[in-house]
Amino acid sequence: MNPWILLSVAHAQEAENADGGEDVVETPSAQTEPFGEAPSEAPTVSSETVADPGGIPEGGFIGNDSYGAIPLGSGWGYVWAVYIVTWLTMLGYAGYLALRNRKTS
Amino acid sequence: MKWHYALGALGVLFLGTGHAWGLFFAPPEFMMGDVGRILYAHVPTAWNAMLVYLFAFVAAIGTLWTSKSSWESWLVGFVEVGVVLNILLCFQGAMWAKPTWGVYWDWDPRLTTTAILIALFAGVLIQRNLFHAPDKRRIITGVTAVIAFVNVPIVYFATTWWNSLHQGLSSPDTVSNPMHWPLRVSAFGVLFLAVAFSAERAKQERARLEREDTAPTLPLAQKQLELGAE
Repeated sequence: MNPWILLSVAHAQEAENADGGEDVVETPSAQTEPFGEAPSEAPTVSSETVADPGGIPEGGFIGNDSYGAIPLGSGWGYVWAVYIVTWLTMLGYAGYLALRNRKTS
Repeated sequence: MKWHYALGALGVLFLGTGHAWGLFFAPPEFMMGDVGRILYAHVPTAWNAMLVYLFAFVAAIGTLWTSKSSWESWLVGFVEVGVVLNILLCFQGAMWAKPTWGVYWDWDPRLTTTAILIALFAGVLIQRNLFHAPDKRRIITGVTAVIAFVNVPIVYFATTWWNSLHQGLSSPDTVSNPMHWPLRVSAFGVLFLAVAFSAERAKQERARLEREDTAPTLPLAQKQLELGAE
């Protein structure tokens, strides 16, 4: 089990148990519904989706924190939002500098 | 052509290539699926925001050490670009957090210290407008930038020092092989663009400082008031 996942779940459970509930580290639950809806149950993470301790998962990266919950093909809206805003920021800042240049020259 | 325009064009080429690679040719991340492609935009922005702040710190030391306007103008350029990358970084992180954590924002140590970083370096830029005396403004800008930089290693090690919801330190050593190159190419793209933007902003600031030195822009009475206030 990836120790990072255990820590993350412990952190989340500490927040949930802020009213004095006991801190129990359990197997991380998977978020089966996309886009942050509350999971209807708490399925466990299979050994196929969790990286070996200390190793880089094939096709993934250490510290992955989705708990293997996001179905393939989903979430493109977030991906496009990130890339479009990234390019708009670069273009916008370049435009701002060009305007400043014109104003001061 | 000025060197930083060529560097900016190279940055666009690298960033476009890296992003296209990450979006259309890199495999979906094995747990997150396609949402994992945010990696190629978010991580290069994060690395370079911290790197640009490091450049700002060096420029701040140079400014305080030499009192030269060239160092001061580079300092302004790096701080401004650092703040832009930092704000962008937080947006990208929020877009990644929603589908993976279920929330756009969490007051987790990495996220909180990163938000504080925006406030600190934005403060460096804001306070420059509060001082009209060049010497005082230069010293205060340098000192506040050095103080703001203290938070950069705290941001970097936040996931190591505290129990953080955010993943640990990212590097090519923690990423699967097929994801290395789009990540590296995107990172160089952001770096080239960040340096090009900083150079252009520094050039503008240098010109402004030179005009301020040579031209009697302030009425005599206002100058005397400022000198008297010191």
